[in-house]
Amino acid sequence: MPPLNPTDRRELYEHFQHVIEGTYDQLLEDQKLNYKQNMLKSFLVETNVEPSLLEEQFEYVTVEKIDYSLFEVLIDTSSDEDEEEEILTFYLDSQDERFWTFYSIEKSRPAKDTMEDLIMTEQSGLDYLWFPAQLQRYFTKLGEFQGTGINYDAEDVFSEAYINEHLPFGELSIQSSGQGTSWLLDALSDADLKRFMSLSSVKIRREMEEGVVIERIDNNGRITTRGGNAIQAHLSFVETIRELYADLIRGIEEEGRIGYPIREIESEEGERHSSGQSVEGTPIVINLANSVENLKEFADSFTSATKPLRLWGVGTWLADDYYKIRGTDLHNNDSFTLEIKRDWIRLYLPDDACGNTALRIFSNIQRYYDAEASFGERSDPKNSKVGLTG
Amino acid sequence: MTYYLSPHTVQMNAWIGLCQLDDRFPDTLAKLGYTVDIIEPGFTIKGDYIQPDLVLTAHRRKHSLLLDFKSYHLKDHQNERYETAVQNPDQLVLRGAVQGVPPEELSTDFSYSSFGDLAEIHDLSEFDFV
Repeated sequence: MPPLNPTDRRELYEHFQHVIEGTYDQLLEDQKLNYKQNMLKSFLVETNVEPSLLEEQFEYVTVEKIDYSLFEVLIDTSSDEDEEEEILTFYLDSQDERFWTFYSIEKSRPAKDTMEDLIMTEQSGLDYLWFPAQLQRYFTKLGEFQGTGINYDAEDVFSEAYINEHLPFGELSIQSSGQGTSWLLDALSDADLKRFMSLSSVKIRREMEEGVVIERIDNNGRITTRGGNAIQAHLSFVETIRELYADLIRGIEEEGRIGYPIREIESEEGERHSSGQSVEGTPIVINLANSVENLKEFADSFTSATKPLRLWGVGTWLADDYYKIRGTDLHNNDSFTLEIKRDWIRLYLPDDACGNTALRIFSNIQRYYDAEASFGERSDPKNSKVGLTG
Repeated sequence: MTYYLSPHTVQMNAWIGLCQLDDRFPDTLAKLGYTVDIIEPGFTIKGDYIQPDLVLTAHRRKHSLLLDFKSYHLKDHQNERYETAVQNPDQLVLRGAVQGVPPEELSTDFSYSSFGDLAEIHDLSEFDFV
């Protein structure tokens, strides 16, 4: 029987193997948590800090190294009213320095809320992964498509008055599972509903040489293993998703940020001289299928500094139908500029900005305003398996 | 009473035996510091699924040996897959197949084991284990 307190990766994976197989019947009779009811959850998180800094940053977090690039992270979620301590256990895999994986077999809701608290803390150095609809659709091809969640949540961003005046839905939620899911999506996509069919999760059954796993992928980087027989298949799947996302980010950071490097020339004597500045990179163009009726109100709603977007900005009119916002991403203090017309948005990121900011803005536009929003042809990240134009 | 052991089992026993200090059987690998790390793991490295029969690790040498027991047949893709593992030894640690060696310091090799001469049947010249 694998131990509950793993001392290395192999033990942790063996432990997860039992969780996936649901073979914990005889285990944990004297434990407080009934692990057999919980599924394995893997949270992919973008970061720019070291694992050891978590302890310094959050007084309620304890980090202990288990193995190479593997840490046990204990998060005290107790409030003053609680009589007993509520400590949640996560396992942090930091083998990829930029995209960490937090594993947990805690109950779903507390685990999700705890991760949200951690990530949403100002200057945490952590961010969700923000899967655009195009990437979510690509995931459905990685196995047998078995279910989906659609959540269009304009209510979270726009005022009631704006929704009443400009949008047919404040909220649209559909959950579907089973073989008819593809059929349902096709049917709804043919209708004029497409602009509001914002994929929040997809479920697939993936049969690989390692074995079978049934995975639910949420659009913020959470992957829940809902069944199966092989932890290695889950690990491979998490790696696949991480690489797909990392390719998008790399593409955006190579082409979609604006820099002003100083050009240098070398004299015959070998001395280097400045020969002026050049501009490198291009803005990211986001095309909208759902035209914006009121540019100022739309832009102000998106940059009001509130959750979920946490973007702050100040707008100015460039012309009658052309609005510009200079703002700050409150997740990481990156600056950005948005230029908005009725049918497109241009996003300008400085050359030191995080590419994750672009996908957060883009995927949130899809979720809260226009599920059919797409990147312009020239903004599509190069060398990525997944295109964001369609 | 005579028990029939499959060639696969005999090879497994023999390789494990080479890692034991025992005066009745050669202990060549044991003297070099190799111990049995894991039996029949299955894991994916850079998209290639690998399922060696045995992984032996010499911790002080920071080296692992992946062993695949064969009868007479090799599948073409197996060589490439094991090459992927040799090129990315850190993944053996990060997938839990090898314990106790820092991933960035591990090196690895793979070997086929057979009672037949695989080199006579297959062209293995492009690999340096022949």
